[in-house]
Amino acid sequence: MLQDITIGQYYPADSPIHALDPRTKLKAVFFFIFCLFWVNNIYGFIFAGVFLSSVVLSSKVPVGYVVKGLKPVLFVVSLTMLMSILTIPGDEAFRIFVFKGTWQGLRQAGIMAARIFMLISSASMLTLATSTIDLTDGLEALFLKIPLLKRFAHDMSMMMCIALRFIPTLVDETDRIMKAQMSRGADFQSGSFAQRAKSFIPILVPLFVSAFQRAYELAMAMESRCYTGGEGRTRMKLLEYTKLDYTANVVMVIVFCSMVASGVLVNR
Amino acid sequence: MSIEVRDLTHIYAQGTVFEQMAIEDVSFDVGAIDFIGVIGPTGSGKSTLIQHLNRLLAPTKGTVIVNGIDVNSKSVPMREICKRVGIVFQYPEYQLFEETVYKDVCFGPKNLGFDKEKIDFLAKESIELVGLDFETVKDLSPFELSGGQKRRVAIAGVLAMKPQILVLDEPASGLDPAGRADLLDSIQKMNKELGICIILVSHNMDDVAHYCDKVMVFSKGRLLRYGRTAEVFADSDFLLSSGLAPPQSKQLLIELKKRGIPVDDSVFSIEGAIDEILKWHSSLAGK
Repeated sequence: MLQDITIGQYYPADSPIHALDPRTKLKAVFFFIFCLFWVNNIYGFIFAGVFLSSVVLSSKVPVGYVVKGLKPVLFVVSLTMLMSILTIPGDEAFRIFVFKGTWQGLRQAGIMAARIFMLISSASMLTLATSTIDLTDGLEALFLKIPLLKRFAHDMSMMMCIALRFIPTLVDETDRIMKAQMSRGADFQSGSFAQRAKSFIPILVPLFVSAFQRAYELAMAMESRCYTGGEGRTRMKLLEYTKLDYTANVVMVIVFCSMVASGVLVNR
Repeated sequence: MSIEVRDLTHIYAQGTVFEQMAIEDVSFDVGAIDFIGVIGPTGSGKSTLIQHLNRLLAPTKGTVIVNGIDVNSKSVPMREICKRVGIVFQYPEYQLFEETVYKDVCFGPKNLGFDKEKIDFLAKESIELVGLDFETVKDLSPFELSGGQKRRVAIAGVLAMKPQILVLDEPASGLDPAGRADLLDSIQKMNKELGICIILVSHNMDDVAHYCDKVMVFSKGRLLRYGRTAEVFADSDFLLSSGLAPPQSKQLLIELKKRGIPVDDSVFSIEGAIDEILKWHSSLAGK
């Protein structure tokens, strides 16, 4: 039922993408998304698409997992696509009753969809191929480099670590509560939109109650083990760049430069 | 027969790295007013099995027939299944959500589309059945009750749907000994007086030995044994080899026998164990 949620899920596999340093992967996703917003023509998206698909393929994560991660945004993307096709002024491409679709609108819609899909895929690729512990270690290391965030680096990464850690727990919890309420005849599928929204109250209330309960228990457990924050903590596992990371960096520089260049050159 | 399960197999996450065989080729029949215990070590497939009884999980293979209807047939609405099979999950107090106990208990029957008078009657009846006083608790918030009371209200919420079969997953876990006995006694009453078929999933061998007429033993997704409680518990080697400990009273008799004291170690109830020890004691006094 809730097996479709892939955001934040880790897919263990033995691949070069899994073996990369989390800092390298974080930087890669950051710059990739940055470049995605720079790109505004087909050539740039081809570069991006080829890069992304080769990452997905070499990670040994089944493509289905990445595609499933796109499902939740499908509705929003289709809606925005429709809006931009119909509202952006320009040359008429087709006409349905009073609605006019324009070439410019179609182009814009395509660009936007490609952007959002690639953005989501790259982000879910990051979590699919990086364990939560690696991810937060990487985040903390990167935050420490940013002067403004330095003071909160540990707290922020700890918060993120806990949040990511609890996604599968809360998904399980939701599944359990849903099943319990379905056994009491609750119906989440049929009825009007308002009815369906209302039918989620029996899930949300218990879910919130247990989330607060869990937060309270975790805080107690951390405190009773003398957790006081990041100061003076040493780590068991130190992050170190390997040859693989240097190779990945070179590949990324080439790909991202080409993406940016395609945007600059073609539009000139 | 009220439940007929044939060749039931369930595989989780089939086709991924997380693939896992949960239950394999399980077949059994359950009578209309049976009180059945389901035992087995953690991960033996008990929870997966019970979720098949009201279509929460669809079988990878096999069929489940409850009172003549195929649970997985698309033409049968979920509501019809809920009227027949009520499932009380582990820690059911986590399903409470309404403002008052009364409203929460009414949630189930309301979903089944009963009329107002019937709902009112059923809510009252089931709250009394689980051993709470209707007038005292009905207007309280479920969140201000004690743990044991919450548990009872949650069970009442399922009972109020008038199921013919009631499945309970560890209903007594986390309760104190008195609360435990109280709750299981009321469950036994539902079986004996109201004729509800009970399926009790438990790790507590003493409870199962005391209350259940028949026992199913699961291990690694397979139904190893299904028979009368006395027969299953008589074979302590079998219990130990499937990762289960015999009831405590039986363990005592086994240890006594090992030390050369002439008691019958096929007995498994507390009363039986007392009789055995007294018999030995009086035979000593006779000498």
